[in-house]
Formats: sequence, C-alpha cells, structure tokens
Amino acid sequence: MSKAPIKYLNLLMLVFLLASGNLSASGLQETKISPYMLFTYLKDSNSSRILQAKMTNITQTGEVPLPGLKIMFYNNETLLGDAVTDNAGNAVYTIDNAFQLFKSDDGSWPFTATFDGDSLVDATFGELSITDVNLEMTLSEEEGKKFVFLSATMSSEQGQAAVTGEEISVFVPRMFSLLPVGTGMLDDNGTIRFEFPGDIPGDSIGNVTVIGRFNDHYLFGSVEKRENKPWGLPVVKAPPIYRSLWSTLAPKWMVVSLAIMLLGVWGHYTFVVISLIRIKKEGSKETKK
Amino acid sequence: MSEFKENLIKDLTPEIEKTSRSWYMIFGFFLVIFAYGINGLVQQIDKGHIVTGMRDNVVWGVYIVNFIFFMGLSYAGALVSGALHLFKTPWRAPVIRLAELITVISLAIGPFFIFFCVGRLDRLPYLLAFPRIQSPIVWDVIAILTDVFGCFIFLYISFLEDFAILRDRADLNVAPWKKKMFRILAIGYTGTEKQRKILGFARNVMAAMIIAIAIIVYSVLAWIFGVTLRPGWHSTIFGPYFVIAAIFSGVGLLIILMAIFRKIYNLEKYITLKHFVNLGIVLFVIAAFFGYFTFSDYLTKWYGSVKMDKILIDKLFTEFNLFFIFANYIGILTPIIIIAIPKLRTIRNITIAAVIALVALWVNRYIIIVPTLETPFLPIQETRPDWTNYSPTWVEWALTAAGIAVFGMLFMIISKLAPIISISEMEEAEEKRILELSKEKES
Repeated sequence: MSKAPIKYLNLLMLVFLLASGNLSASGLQETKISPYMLFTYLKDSNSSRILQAKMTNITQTGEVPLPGLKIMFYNNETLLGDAVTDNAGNAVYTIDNAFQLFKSDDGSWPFTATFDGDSLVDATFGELSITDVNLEMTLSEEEGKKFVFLSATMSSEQGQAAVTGEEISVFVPRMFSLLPVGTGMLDDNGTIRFEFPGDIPGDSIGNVTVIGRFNDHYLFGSVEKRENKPWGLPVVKAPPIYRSLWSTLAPKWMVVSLAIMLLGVWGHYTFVVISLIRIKKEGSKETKK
Repeated sequence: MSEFKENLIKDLTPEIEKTSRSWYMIFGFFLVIFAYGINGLVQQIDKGHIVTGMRDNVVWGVYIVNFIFFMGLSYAGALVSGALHLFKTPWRAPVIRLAELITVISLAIGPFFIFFCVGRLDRLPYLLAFPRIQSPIVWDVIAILTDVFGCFIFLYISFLEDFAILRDRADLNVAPWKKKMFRILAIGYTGTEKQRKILGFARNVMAAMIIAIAIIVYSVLAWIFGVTLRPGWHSTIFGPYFVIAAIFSGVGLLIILMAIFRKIYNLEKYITLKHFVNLGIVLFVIAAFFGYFTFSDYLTKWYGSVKMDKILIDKLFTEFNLFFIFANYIGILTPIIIIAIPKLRTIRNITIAAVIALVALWVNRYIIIVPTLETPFLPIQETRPDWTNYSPTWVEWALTAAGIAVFGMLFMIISKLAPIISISEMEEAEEKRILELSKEKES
C-alpha cells in the first residue's frame, strides 16, 4: 500500500473532528408552563349541570393536554368541589341538583374554575356567567315527514318566560363531532320547528340520536335534550368480499402474475443450488479417485 | 500452472496474506464514523423521530434518499456484472468482481435506512404476517428478499473458482481459519470438465436472472412513487427512469472503486485506461439516456400545468434551483463532455466525472422526494414552517455517513478474504487471448 491514503486519512480525521466539535444535541429548556383553561357549562338531557375545565399547554407544535391538575370550582365565592384533569386535560364537576346556587343581580349564576399552580404549571382561572334555561324537545311524524319541535323558557320575575330571538340547533352525533342538521332562531313563543332530513345514516336498524341544543350560547352555555329515534337510514352492511385493488382480496391477474414471477425466479435459484450440489458430488468423486 | 496465472496469484494474494498499517488506519477511521452514526441512532431510539428533520408533512427524508440510492447501486452492480458476464465482454475480467461486490454490499446496507425511517418498527412483521399484495410496499419487500438471495448466490458462484484456486495454493501464507474457509467454500471444486460445464451454465442462468430481477426490483421501487397520487411522483416513466438512474450511479461507483483499488492495491497492470474509457463510454450513454428521461419527465409535467405540478416545478427552479442545476445539468453534462472529448479521457478525469455523476444522482433522489412532500395536495393550515419544510439533522447525516463507512468497511473486509480481481475470469480472458492470437497466426 502507498502512503498517500494515510495523508488523506489524517486530513479527513481533522475535518471530522472539527465538524463534530460544532455538533451537539439540542438541550430542552425547562420553563414553567403557562396553561390555557377552556371553561364550559353543559346542562344535559337529565337536567344535570356540568362544569368542565380543559387545561392545555399551547406550544408551537400544537395544543398539549395537561393531566393531573386539581381544579377548584366555585359558585360566586362558595366552593362547589374539585376535580383532577384526566389524560385529555379535562376536569369535570357535576353540580348537585339539591344545591341552591347563588344568583347575581341579573339572575345569572357566576361560576369560577381555578387552578392554584404548582412547581411546573402556572396558576390560572376561568369565569362563566350562566342564565338557566329550560329546553323541551318533541319529536313527531306527519305525513311521512319527521319534525323536531323545540321550546325554551327561562325564569323571570313574572315566572317562566319564553326565550325569544336566540339561535338554537338540531344535531346528530357523528364519529368526531356533532353534525348540525338544522339551525334557526326561536320565535316570540320561544319555539321552533325543524324538518329532520331523511338521508341521515343511522345504525344497522336506522336509529339516530337527535339532539336539540343551545351550543356554547353566550348566555346559557350548552343546554341540550337528546332522544333516540329510528329516523336514520339503516347502514348498508359491508358488501361481500370481492377482488379489487382496494379490497381485502387482490385481483386474480395480480395473484397469478406474482405467483408466476416468484415461481420462475425461485425455480431458477433452486436449479442453481442443485447445480452447486452436483459440483460438490463431482468433487467428492474426484477426491475418491 | 501457466506463468500468467502464477504471476496473477503473486500479484493478487499479498493483500489476503498480510494487512498493512494504513489498512487498519483507514478501517479505524470508518469505524469512528460508524460509531458516530450509532451515537445518532441511540439518540433517535431514545428521543424518537423528533431528532430528525421529518415531520407530519415531510415524512420521508435523507433515510429514504439513502435507501433508494443504495438499492440503485446494488441493482446497477447486478445489471453491470450480469451483462458483462452474459455478453462475454472481452475486457470484463478485472472489473466484474467489483461490480458483483457493489451489488451485495449495497444490498446489505440499503434496507437499514428503511428501519431508521420507520417509526414503529414493531409493526414491520405485519407486512409479512398480513400482506396485501396490491400494495407496492409489499411488492418491494418480496422483491428485495428475492433479490438478496439471488445476489448472494450469484456472488458465491462467481467466487467459487477463486476459492478453489486459493485452497490449492500450498504456499499461501494465511491464517488456518482462512484456509479452512477456502476449503469449505470451494465445495470440492477441482475444475473438471463436468464441473466447469455445470458451473458455467449456472453462472449464465444466474447472470440472466440477476439482470431481470434488477430491472423488476428497481421498477417496483420506482412504482412506490409512481402509483402514488402526489405531484411529481405520479408518472408512467418512473420505472425505466429509475432503472437508468440506478445504472448511472452504479457505473459511476464502479469507476470510483476501480480508481481507489487500482491505486491502493497497485493494480495498474490489470485495471488500465482501457477499462476506464470503456466504462466511461457506458457512463456517457447512460448519462444521455438519463438526461433524456429527466427532460421528458419535467417537460410533460410543465406543459400539463396541473396546479400542484406547476407549484412543484416552480419550487424546483427557485427554492431548490442549486440542487436542480447540480443534479440535472452538471451531473449529466460533465460525464458527457469528459467522455465525448478524446483528449479529456484520462483516468483522473473519468474518475472525477464518475464522482460528480454519483453525487448528482444522490441529489437527484433528494429533489424527487423532498420537494414533492413539501407540496401536498391538501396543505395543512396554520402550521409551522418546519412542519412543511424539511431540513436534515445531524442524526440523519451521522447515519448517512455511517452507511457509507459500512460500505467501505465491508469492501475492505472482503478484499482481505478473496482477491478483488477474479483470478478465474482473468485466466479465462488470457486463454481466450492466446487462442485468438494463435488463430490469427494460423490464418
């Protein structure tokens, strides 16, 4: 071997060492998290009043849920209770129906959710002011058509009063979220009627869940009524197994082509391996001679 | 034994018998680079793919570029060695083994880059357990596994006669384990008429098979892109285009290795200017074809003016313009110019042209993969620029360098186990030359 490679090797090693000096794994900066709290209210079909605080860390790579944080829920200054955030960052607290909530001068319930902070996450809080509303939903069928009737009332000094001029919607739950199938304004009587569409896919026998709902309303929060009805289209069963590029079974021509090619190639390999065995046997014969 | 063969063995076996200090130093250097790559791999396993430049949009980066590049080198080695053998090219003897070794060594390295790229390696066995043969990925797995077996068989039968020659050399000063290895691998081959006939036929069969497999397997790899509905990839000519590109890079690497081994193992007597010029002419022809395919592919996309294709081509001429110019102008024109002008056909110039062609081909693979992934049909809104734009990290470069280092190390190890030039091929070529000379004299 000539000495030239050693010269180049030394040069390369020098370049390598210089280059590696500038490289280092990027360290993680440890700073306290400034959390974001999404505080919401839901009155569900059973008239349960549910407070939810979703705690997340908004980073450059997206929203990261913060589990294991203890959230305190208050009505005015009275502690209602607490809940710990789950893996999705949600802390949920259901208000006891027997509990007499404090009302502000305008008749609304003031709610506060607070997180007191810890060694890793800063303290934060959220506030809500909710006016209680009663929602009723009636589902009916007339001449083959399906209708959703919604009626909303709220407490006033004169007793129960109709909720007028507020937006309300009808939804059906789908895989990822609620699909709105009708939206409109409540009339002077606090009512509205929607025709339910006839082409909504349901389960195998056509059942769908119909939801009448104030959705994230600025005064009422979310208030909903749910009911199951066979108003959807039964989902067509998966078609029988067939051959195509996109089904489980490949087209026959593809299976046959692949099989011919593989048999051809591996057949030749086998022939060559047999040839090597013949060479070995021939060698053994020669050695014996 | 003929004087020619005796001299040949004397010239080629010293590298098997003893190992110089510079060999260890170069090997050690490769080992350091390899260790650096392992360091990168450990970081990647520990922290996940976040240490690479790959993100939601650009899910393939340098790893896939390297995979395609190494697999291309392998198929090119197979095509070149198969064709040289099958067509009985008169000047093939000193270079055919290098081509065969390129085939097997590249094939041993390439698939590792897939393992580096896959996030959930634990799911890899599902490809074999639940294959959908409609998927080009499954075709590729089947094709590569088939190719691995074929290439190893081809390499072994091409080494067989040399193993027998080395086994029979009583004066060969090598370690006992090497002698034992030669004896086992020679499988009793003594060169009888029958054995030569069987081996010759088996080599012809494998040479033909290896050419067919190389074309099919690299086309399959190209179809992974071709059948995907993405800007720049969904092209009918990707199969032949990839095959041509593979031969282009493979011939380039063969020339470079010829130059390196010629220099460090003092093989000037066997690997001559003639071999460089002949392979240079192959490189010239392939460069012309490669240029034609490249032009044809981009021209049709440009005239088609499909929105995303247009955006992609604009990107190639702006953001990636230096890469594009190097890969598709300098990389193609340099070998053509150097080979076309007889005065420039020196060993050094042809080697430089080969180096440029090889690097250009790597860059060509980069601009096929990365700009396309940076141009999705459905852009994700309000996303960070580094989610849509790819930039390789030191971990990816470290593993790339490690791949090249392993290539070098494997070549160096094999050169210590068997001659880097096929003794049997050289002997056969000499016999033919003498036969032709005697025929000329008679006539």
